[in-house]
Amino acid sequence: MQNNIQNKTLIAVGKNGEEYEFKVQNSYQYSSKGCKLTIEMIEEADGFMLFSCEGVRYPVEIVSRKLNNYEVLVNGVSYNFTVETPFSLKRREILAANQPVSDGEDVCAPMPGKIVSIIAQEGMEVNPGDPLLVLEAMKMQNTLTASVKGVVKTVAAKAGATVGKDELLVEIKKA
Amino acid sequence: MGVAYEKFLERQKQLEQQYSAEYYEKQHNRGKLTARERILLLFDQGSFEEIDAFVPPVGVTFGKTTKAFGDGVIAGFGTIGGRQVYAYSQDFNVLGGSLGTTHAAKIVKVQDMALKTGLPVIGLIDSGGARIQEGVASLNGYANIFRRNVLASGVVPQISAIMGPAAGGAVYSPALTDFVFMTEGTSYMFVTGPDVVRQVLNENVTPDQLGGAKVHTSKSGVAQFVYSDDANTILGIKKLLTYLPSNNIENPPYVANDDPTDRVEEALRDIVPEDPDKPYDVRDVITLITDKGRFFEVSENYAPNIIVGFARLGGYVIGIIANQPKVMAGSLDIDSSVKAARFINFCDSFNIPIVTFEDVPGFLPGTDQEHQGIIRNGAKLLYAYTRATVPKITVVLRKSYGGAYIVMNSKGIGGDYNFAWPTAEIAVMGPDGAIAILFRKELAEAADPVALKKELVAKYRNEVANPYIADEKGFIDEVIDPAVTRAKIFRVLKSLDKKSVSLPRRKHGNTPL
Amino acid sequence: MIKSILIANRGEIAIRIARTARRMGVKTYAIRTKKEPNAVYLSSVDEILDFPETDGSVPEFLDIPNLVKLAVDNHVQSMHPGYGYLSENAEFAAACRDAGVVFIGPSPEVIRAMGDKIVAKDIAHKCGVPMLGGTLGGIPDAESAVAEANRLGYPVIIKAASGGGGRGMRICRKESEVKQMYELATSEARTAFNDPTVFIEKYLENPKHIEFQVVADKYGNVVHLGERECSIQRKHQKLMEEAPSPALDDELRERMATAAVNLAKAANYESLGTVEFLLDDNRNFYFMEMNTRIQVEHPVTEMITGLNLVELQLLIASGEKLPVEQKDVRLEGWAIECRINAEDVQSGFVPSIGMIRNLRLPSDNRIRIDSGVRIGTEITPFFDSMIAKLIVHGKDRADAIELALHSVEHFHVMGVKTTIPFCKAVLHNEVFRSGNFNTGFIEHDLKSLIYKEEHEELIAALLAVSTYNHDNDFSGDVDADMAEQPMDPWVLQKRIRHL
Repeated sequence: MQNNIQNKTLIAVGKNGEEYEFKVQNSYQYSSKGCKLTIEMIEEADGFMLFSCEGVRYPVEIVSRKLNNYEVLVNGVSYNFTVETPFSLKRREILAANQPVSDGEDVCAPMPGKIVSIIAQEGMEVNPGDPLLVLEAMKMQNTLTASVKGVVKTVAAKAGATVGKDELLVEIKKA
Repeated sequence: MGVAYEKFLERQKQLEQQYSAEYYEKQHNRGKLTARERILLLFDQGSFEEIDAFVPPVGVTFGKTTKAFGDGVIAGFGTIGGRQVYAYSQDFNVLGGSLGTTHAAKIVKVQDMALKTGLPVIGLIDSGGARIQEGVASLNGYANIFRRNVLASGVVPQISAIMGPAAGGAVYSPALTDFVFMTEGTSYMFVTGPDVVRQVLNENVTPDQLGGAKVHTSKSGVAQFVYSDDANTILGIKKLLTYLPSNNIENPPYVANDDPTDRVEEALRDIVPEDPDKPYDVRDVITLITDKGRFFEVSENYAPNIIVGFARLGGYVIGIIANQPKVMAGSLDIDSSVKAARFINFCDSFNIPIVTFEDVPGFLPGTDQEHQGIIRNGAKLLYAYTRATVPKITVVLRKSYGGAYIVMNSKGIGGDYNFAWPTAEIAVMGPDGAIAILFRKELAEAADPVALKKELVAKYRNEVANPYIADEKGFIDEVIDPAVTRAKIFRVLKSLDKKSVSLPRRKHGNTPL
Repeated sequence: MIKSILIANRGEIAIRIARTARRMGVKTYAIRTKKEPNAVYLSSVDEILDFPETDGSVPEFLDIPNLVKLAVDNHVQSMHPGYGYLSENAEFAAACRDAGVVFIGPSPEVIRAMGDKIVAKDIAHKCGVPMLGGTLGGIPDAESAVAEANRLGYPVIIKAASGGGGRGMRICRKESEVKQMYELATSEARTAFNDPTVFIEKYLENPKHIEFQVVADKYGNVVHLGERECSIQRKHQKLMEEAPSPALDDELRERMATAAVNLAKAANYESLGTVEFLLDDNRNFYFMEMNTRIQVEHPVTEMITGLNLVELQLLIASGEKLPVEQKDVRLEGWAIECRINAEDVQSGFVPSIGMIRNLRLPSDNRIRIDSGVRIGTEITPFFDSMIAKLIVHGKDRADAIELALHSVEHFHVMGVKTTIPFCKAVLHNEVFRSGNFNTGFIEHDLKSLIYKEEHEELIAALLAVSTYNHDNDFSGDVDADMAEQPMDPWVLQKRIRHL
C-alpha cells in the first residue's frame, strides 16, 4: 500500500522538547540537515536487534510503542520520542494551548485484592511503566505501574491491607 | 465544445474556490485536517472519484450557494491498496458539517452503492449534528443512514472514524458500524453534551472527559482504536483494511509472507510460569505464534483482561481471542465477555477463522458483577462462540475451569480443534474449591485440616488439574509441545479451509442483549 | 573435611559457592522457593530441597528455624549463608551450632561483637586501630550528644550501634541540630533495629571507602589479602569495585593491613572477614566496621591473589590450617568489578522489572562473569536486581579499565534496562581514570550518569522515526491481484446457500 512516505518530513520530539527532523526518501534512506543516512535493521540469529546507520551498527531494542510515542534503547540507553509531522507538531501546540493538562495520576485498585508489597515511596520519581506496588487478586500477583512521569505524592496503600475496587492506592504528581 | 465546455470548466472552478487557503487554515487551526485532505490521505493517489460534489443544501437556489457545494460532505469511491472502497467525509468547514437532507442523501447513496457492489464503507465523521434549520427532515436523514448501517451490517465491513464532534443522534451511526476510530484530543462522542449535563445534573465536565477518545477506548468501549492525529488515524484505518475481506462472501485477503509456517519457538515452552498463580503477558504468546509483525490488536485499552485482534498466520487472516493473565488473572467479566463476543460476531460474519488462547480461572465473582448481569453478558460470549460457523481453534495454555471452560470455545460448543499445552489445567473448578467441597467432611474431622487440605490440593493438582483427562476423553484433540503451536494451528487451519456448517433456517436468532 | 553443604542463599552467590564446593568434593544442597522455582542456581547443585510452605510472613532466606530444620532433616553437615540475608546474623549462626550444623563463618559471638558497632569500636580501640574519635559506648542522652559533638568538632555523624547499610545515620553540621538528630536517630534505631543505642563519630565529607580482606583460621593465623577500593557508591550502595586501590602505596597499604590483621587477632576472628576503612584526603585512615561474611565484591581479590575465597572458607570451617602464609600472598595485576544490575539508571536506579528476553555475554580469558540469570529469568520486586558481576583482570589499572570497557560494550541484555550505560560512564570518566576519586564521585565528578556515544540521540531519533514508518508500512500485506484469485466453488456454493 502506498503511504506516500517519499519526501515526507518526520520529526522525532524528545522528552525535553528536543527535535530531530528527518526527510524520508524511502524506508531505508533518510536525511538529516542535508546529511544522507542509510539505515538497516538487522535481526541477528540469536534474536538481538542491530540498527545500522551509515554502516555503523548499534545494539537496539524497541521497548514500547504507544500511539506515536516510542521508547527505544540504543546501547542500552533509553530514549523517548514522539514521531510527528510538521502538521501534527503544530497541532500539538494548538491543543496544548486549548486544554488544561491534568496534574497527575491517581492509581486505584483495578479490582479488589490484597496489597502484597509496596515499591513506591513518597517523593520517589517515577516514569511511565515503573512498578508502584504489587496487588494480589484472584490469587495472582499483579504489579501496578505508573502511567505518567512524576513524583509520588502520597502512598495510601498499606502492605498486607485488603483494598476494594477503585480504592486510591498511590497519588502521583506530574513533574 | 465551446460554450458548454467553458461553463463546465467555470463550474469546476467554483468548486475549487470553496477550498481556498482560508478553508484549510480554519480547520488546521483546530488541529484537524480538512475533509478533503483526509480523503486524499485515505485513498491511493489519484484514485478517488467524488460524486454529488455540487449538490446544494435544501431550500437554497443556485447562485447563493458558492460556500456550500456538496452540502458539507464529500462522498465517493476509490481504491485503498488497490481495493475498491466507498467513503464519505463530513466537512466541518461547510455548514459545520451539519447533517441536512441532501447531506444525508449523499451518505445514503454511498451506502447503497457499497451494499450493491459488496464493498466496505468508511465514514469520516466531523459534524455539528442535525441541521436544525431543516427540522425533522434532517432527523429522517439520520434514520435513513442508520437503516443502511443495519442493512449493511455483516454484509460489508463498515468503519467509522470520529475526527471531530459527533453528538446526539449522530453517534448511533458509528455505534452501528463494525469499528470506530477516534483521534486523540480532537474527537468527541456523546448523546448529550457537557452543557446539558451541566443544566440537568449540575455536573461540570469537559467534552474530553465526557466523551473523548480516552473515555471511549478505555471506559465505555464505544471506540476500538485511538490515534494521535488525523493522519495516523487514517493510517490505522488502512492497516485494519488489510485484514478485512470486502464482503461476507469473499475470504479475507491472503497475502504470502516470508515467515515459515513451521517455525519452532522454544521460548513458548517457558512462557507459562510453573506457579499457577503467576501472571504473564499473553501477547508474547500471540506474537511468537503469528506471522512476525502481523498482529493488529482491537480494543487494546478496553477490558484488557481479554485480548482480541487480527493476525496473519502463514499469510491467512485469523481472529485472535486470548485471556490475559496479566490483568485480573484473565478472569471473564462483563466488559471482556462483551468485547470478545462482538469481535467473534465480526469474524464470523466475514469468514475470518477464530483462534482462542485460553487461560481463564473463571468468571469474576462478586455482587458487583452479578447485579450488573454477568449471566446475561457472559451468555453473549457463549452465544457468539456457539453460533460462529467459521473455523474455530482453541489452545488451552493453562487454566480452564468450570463455566469459563465451556464458554471459551470448548469442543462441546463447536470448537473444531482443541489443543492443550502440557501446563493446561482442565477441571470443573480449581484445586482449592474442589477440595473444600469434595472433602468437606474429612476436612472438618481431620486433626490437622490445613495439612490435609494441602495434601489433597497437591493430589488434585497432580491427578485432575491437567490436560490428560480431557485428552483421553476426546475433549482435547491433542496435547502439544508449545514450541510447535504455530505449525499445528496452521495445519488445522488448512484442513478447515473448506469448513461448512448448516444452521437451522430462521429469520435470526434471539441473541442475549 | 566437611562432606555436605546447604546454601542458604540464591542467585549468583549460590552458584559461586556450589561451584567451588562441588569441585572440592562437598555435596551441595540448594533451596527451592515458590517465588522462583526455575531459578538457575538450582541447576548448579547436587540436591534441591523444597522450602516448606509457610504463611509467608518471613521471607524464605530469613527464616532461621526452617533453614536449620532443612539442614538437620536432610543430614546436611554445614550451612553457607552467602551474603545479605542471614549472613551476619548471630542468632542464625548460633541456631546452626546448637543444631550441630557447621555455620560457615565466624562464631556467633564474633558476629554479635562485630555487629554491635560500639563493641567493635571498643575492640579496635584496644588494639590501636585509628578511629573517627567519638565516644566508646553509647550516648545516654541528648546533652551528652551535644557535649561529645562539640568536642569532636563539626560535622559529626550519629549512628545506630546495630545499624548498617546507611540506615540509622544522621549528619549534624552545627550544634543546634544535634539534639533533634539525636532524638531522630534513637527512635529510628529503635524501630529499625530494635535497639535505640547510638554513638557519635566525626563525619568525613566524601572520604574514600577502602576495605581489607582478611582470613583467619582456628589456630590464630591471620592473613590479609590486600584491599578493595569501593568508593564508587550511590546512597551507600557499591556499584563498581577494584583491587588494589589507586589511593594506596605500599607503605600505607602495609599500615592499614597491619591494623586490619591486628583487629582480627584481637577479636579472635575466624573465617573470612572484611575490615572497612575510611580514608581522608590526608591519607589518614579510620576504622568503620568489620563485615563477617563473604562480600559481593570478593572476586576482585580472587583475581589479583589467585586465591579462592570460598575454598578458604570451607577449609577453615573444616578446622584446617590456612594453606597460605602472608609471604605467599602476592597482589598481581589489577581487577575491576562492574555490577550489571537490572536497574533504570535514568529514572534514579529503580529496579527494572521484567523478563530477560535475551542475553549476550562477553568472553575473554581475562574476564570472569558471576551470574545467576539466564534467558527467560524474571526480574521481580522480590529479590535483588543483579544480573551479573563482570570482573576483569588487567596488567595494570589502565589495562583493566580498557578491558572492562571493552567487556561491558559486549554485554547485551534484552528485556530489562541495565546499569551498563552507567558502568561505561564511570569507566570513561577522567576523574575515575586518574584514580583520584572518593565517595562523592557520583555526586560531584560524574556529569552524566549514563554514557552516550556521539550522535547516539540522533540515532535513537532516527530509529524511532524509521520504526514508525515500518509500523505504518503494510505494503507487504496488500496484494492488489488478490481479488482475482478464484474462490473454491465448493466453498462459494455453500457460503451463498447458507446466507
